[in-house]
Amino acid sequence: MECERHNQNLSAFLDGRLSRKEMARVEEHIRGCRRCREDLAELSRLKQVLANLPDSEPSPGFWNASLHSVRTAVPSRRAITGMRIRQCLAVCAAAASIVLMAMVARIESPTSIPAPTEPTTLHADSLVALSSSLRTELPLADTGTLRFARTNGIATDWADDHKLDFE
Amino acid sequence: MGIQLLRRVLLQEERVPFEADQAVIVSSETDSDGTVTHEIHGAGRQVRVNYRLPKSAAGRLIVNNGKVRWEYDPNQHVAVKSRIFWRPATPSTVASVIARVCENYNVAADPTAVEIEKRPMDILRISPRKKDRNRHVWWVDRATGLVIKREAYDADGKLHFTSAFSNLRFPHSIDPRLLKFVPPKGVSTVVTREAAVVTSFGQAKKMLSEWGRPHERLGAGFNFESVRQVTVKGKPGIAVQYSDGLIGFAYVQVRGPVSLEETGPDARKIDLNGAIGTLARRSRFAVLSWCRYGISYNIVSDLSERLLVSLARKISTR
Amino acid sequence: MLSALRLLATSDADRFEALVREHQASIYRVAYRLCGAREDAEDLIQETLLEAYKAFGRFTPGTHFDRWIFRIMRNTFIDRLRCKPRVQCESLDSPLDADAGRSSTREIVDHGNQPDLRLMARLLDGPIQEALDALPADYRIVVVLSDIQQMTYEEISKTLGCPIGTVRSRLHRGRAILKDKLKSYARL
Repeated sequence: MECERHNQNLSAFLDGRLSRKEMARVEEHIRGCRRCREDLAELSRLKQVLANLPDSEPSPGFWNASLHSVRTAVPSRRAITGMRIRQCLAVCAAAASIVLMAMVARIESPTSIPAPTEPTTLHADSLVALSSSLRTELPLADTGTLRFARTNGIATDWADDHKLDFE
Repeated sequence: MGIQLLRRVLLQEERVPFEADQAVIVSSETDSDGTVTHEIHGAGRQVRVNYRLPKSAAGRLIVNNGKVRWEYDPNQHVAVKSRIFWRPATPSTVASVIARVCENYNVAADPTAVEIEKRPMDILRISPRKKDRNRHVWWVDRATGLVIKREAYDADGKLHFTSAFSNLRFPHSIDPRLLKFVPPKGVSTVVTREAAVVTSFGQAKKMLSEWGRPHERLGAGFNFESVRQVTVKGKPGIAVQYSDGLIGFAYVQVRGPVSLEETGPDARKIDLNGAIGTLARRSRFAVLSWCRYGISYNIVSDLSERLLVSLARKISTR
Repeated sequence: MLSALRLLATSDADRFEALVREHQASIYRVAYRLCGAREDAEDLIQETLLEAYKAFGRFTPGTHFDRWIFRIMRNTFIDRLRCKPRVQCESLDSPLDADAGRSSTREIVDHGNQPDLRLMARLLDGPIQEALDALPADYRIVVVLSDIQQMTYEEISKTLGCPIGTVRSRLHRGRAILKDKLKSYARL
């Protein structure tokens, strides 16, 4: 369809990427086509809005911390040989695990072994922070008694207290 | 009588607006943490909390309007926004909680007459059937059903946790403006992108097939409560919550390769029937971690170490 | 292997750091718009810088450091997407409002004649980021580099290592999808 052909060129038209001949063809088309005219106007405004999106900042101290950890994570030349050997060992260990897993009848964990790359160090702090964030109430004060009561399980009928003899 | 009191507490908890100060003290095997906050509670988990102590947290604000939770730290110029996955307590939810609690605890009302801030209290004693976890004492306000004061004692009889509201006020309703938060100028907003919480075990099984078989019943009275997908240090993971009706812990799996940090004066190795776990403490929390086939398994809890290790052994051998 | 791990002298480390700092605003801007959230962006940058630093021996001094970093960032970004668990969780909740944290609300905004562009951009930030997040990675990268980072077709083509024609078509498709998604938020 006529429109489709020109519609595909609208972006390039906007970016000034069409030859003079192609540009003239698009201009002529949109003179008579309301849909493509509107599309062009919308694309133009979208482009402007995208260009004016506000910038945000990373957390305070991010760049310092980032660059520092990059420097300390990458070994200097002296340790290069050591690193090669460690990588080798990691590959061997992975290979051994594969063999071991093949021997085990019941496999409990996923069968894909991730390729040996730089291991991430997991800190207790991030795990505690994660577990705290999973609680939606106040830190240090779990005042929500029903925090653990979001199950959709079938409610047992405990309405009749006489069934219970705790007192 | 105990069960009825517990039911009243659970039903009233999200329905009584109030304003008060709260002091909380928690102690672990090595130290204690405490906070003093000024709080305004609306219906349905709505709350505005202003930290007064410790000094390092002073000025921190939490605003939860029932749908969205804001946490603002003026020292850091950061506001964190998270979605709240919460549903109001229905009588059937309350009934299932009571059922769970009764499986694991003896719930009894104490007839002793007591007053706090000239308000008569009813005392509820919740004692574990197995002597491996805390026993709880709650002071319940007779007029409103609100728990005004709590104490928890560990298996050795030592006070482990205490919290108390003071300067109580019960307005008819809360000014909705107090439950709104707009980040001040110059403050960056972080929107946490948490996956939805899955509370049905059937759904969880489908979702977790890549992570091994999740356990619905862990033993020691702890059952599956919820799971969600998380990211830890850029690595994909899942966080499962287990509870015994009253207390619980987070069980986090992270897809590696990960190595576990082994620093800290209290970090030590624990034998977990085949896997070697690392136990580290962070104030009242203990983190027990072990690795297998490129997946890191972690339990984060404020349970006693004894209970934590026994739960970890149950998980790690299955 | 050893030859690739050239001697990273102290001066190399300093040069790397200086280059990163020179381009840090751009690096963060692109990472943020690719990931949609600050923490994810910081993680992406962290991994990217690590890879870049390891490969710094292959960077020719005097050439465009930002393009070089963006290429590594793109590769890292795509790799991370592949690592995500395949099963997506169905949300149990009804959809919430658009991220008000970015100062936008889900209203139909009628701008009349000449809206203040910066104001409008700020208001639409949330929905735009949401719409960006939903774009396929390949389209998203091109839109971010072109319309947010203001790179030319040539620069993008060199950065991503793909023909200009591919840049052009991906950009068009990406913008078209964004434009349609945003129709429900505002008359642009």
